[in-house]
Amino acid sequence: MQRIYGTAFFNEKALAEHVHRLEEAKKRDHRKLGRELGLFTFHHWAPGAAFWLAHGTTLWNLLAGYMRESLFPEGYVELRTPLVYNKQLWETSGHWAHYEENMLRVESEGETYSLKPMNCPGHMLVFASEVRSYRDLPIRYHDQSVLHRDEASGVLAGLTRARQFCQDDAHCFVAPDQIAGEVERLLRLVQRVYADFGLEFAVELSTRPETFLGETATWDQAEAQLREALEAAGQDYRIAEGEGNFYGPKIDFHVVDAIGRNWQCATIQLDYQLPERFQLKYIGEDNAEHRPVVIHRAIFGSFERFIALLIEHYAGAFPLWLAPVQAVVVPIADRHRDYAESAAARLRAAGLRVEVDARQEKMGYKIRSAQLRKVPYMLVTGDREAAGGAVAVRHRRDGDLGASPVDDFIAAALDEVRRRGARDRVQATHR
Amino acid sequence: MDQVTVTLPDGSTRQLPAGTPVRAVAEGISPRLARAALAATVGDRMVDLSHPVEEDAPVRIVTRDGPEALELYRHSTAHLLAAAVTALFPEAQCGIGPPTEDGFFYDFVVDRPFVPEDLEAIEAKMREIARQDLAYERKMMPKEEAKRYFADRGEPLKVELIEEKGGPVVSCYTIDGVFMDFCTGPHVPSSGALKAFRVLTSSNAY
Repeated sequence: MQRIYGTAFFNEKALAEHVHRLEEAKKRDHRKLGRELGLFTFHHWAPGAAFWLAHGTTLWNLLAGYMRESLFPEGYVELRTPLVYNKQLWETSGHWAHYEENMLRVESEGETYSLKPMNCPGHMLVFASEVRSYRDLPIRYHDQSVLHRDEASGVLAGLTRARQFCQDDAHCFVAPDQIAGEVERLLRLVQRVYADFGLEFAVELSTRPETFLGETATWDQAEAQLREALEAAGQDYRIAEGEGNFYGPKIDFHVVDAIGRNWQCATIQLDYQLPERFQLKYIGEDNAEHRPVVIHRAIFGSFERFIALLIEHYAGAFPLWLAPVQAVVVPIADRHRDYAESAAARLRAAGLRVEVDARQEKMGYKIRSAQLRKVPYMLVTGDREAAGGAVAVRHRRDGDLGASPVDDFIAAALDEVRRRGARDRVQATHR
Repeated sequence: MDQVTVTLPDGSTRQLPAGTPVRAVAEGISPRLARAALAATVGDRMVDLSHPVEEDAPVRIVTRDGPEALELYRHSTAHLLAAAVTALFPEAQCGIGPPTEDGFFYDFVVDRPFVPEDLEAIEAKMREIARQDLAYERKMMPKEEAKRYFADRGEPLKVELIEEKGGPVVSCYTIDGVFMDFCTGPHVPSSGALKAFRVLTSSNAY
């Protein structure tokens, strides 16, 4: 069977805009750029699971580290939890009844296990492993471990429909009256993170669906707290009536990328059911046992998806703080090679990711090649630069920026890295 | 003849002889609205402009500005695509052709995969049919007759779809006799309403 795809609009202008967006999207396709930029690859023996190559792993680690740095000041602790669990865990959590077909089974010693499709049930076990007091709450567990969800191999598509992925997952265990405060902190955190990536987003509050678990009054209260948090954080939002999960209301974030496409990324979901199923409790101020509420939240969503979004949003030209290779030092002739290496060593010692292109090729060829790899800075070194302890700075977008002493370039580059999403670039000291 | 009362979105009412096509409501409001009309809603159902109004109901004329208009328009464009494909590839069997979030698709059983030149020819044929401004007409057929029609045309896939989804009387649409498809509709009144479309790609479907 052959499927023909087409599109139609009421006027030529809207059609032309749409077709242009499709062409732009094709150029930015993360599968194409991922290969060209040496970020990741796939093999049919591991469907839906990426091999992260050197540059992709660098990017991944930068994001993972960035997320840790963002979360620790917010009171999160990081956990590493098992990947494979006995099916009894999934029966307790309810996944075996509702989600089994998406889980990868493992048989061992006559017992049935499954690779985890999500971290939540494991985190419930950690919470339940000790006696908790109201004074400990909120408790916030962050976990970047590997998840698997079985998907028909026909629907797998690059990093966006993968079988294996990692989330910047976390669960916040709160007392019912802490919901508004915790969600407000979370909203502010999401706002900061997306600003660092220069991403625009829209927010949606999804309320009680037709079929739901729990009491109407509890739902009403929870929704009121989410609204309160959204307003306190100064966050515009729209309401998706009846679109919440059966276990609680949620707030979703839709990132709009550089060519106007929507990506569902961050989510904040209240859950009253898992604490019930795992009989979680904390000792309240009244010395009685109480049930905590769990907030599931992720900001990137999955690393895979978020990296796909970043590749397509930046069209592969990552800002300096994320660029796997931040600068290529290009010696003009063989005799400049030692100087190029020593300049590169100084840049690396300062923490910059630098390569030297010492191939026996023409200057123009080497510049073009760095340009195609979308390396932010090309640092040309010839006689004059070697004599003056300088590099001739060239930016991938702005072209020739003139010569700069190596130390000045380092200071300016580190400053650009610190400013992350900010668009400014290193200014040359001499032109 | 019995009169029926239709209620317009602004709350005003109009009387019409029962069985009048809903198009007449648009014509009664303004010639401009009649020209812009793509379909109508009668009660909570969206219908063709040729749909006869048989009882009192709220009526709204669907134009480009209506929330459901783009989906309807794309669905009709999918039919236009199928008409072009069957005109150029008489042996092609038609599957289903729904609108999607960004456009539409249509499935075909063909001897060989489509190549880019085919897609260009198909799009050109679609333009030709659109220019001819051919009427989209609904035909109600007894199920067995519809099955026989598609069986004779060498479309076992359609026969299967009718068997699976059709009631005792099934709804089909013709584009001025050149093409007929089993479909619940509704559709735009004629191919001339379809202005800006593009055939994008083809792929294997299962």
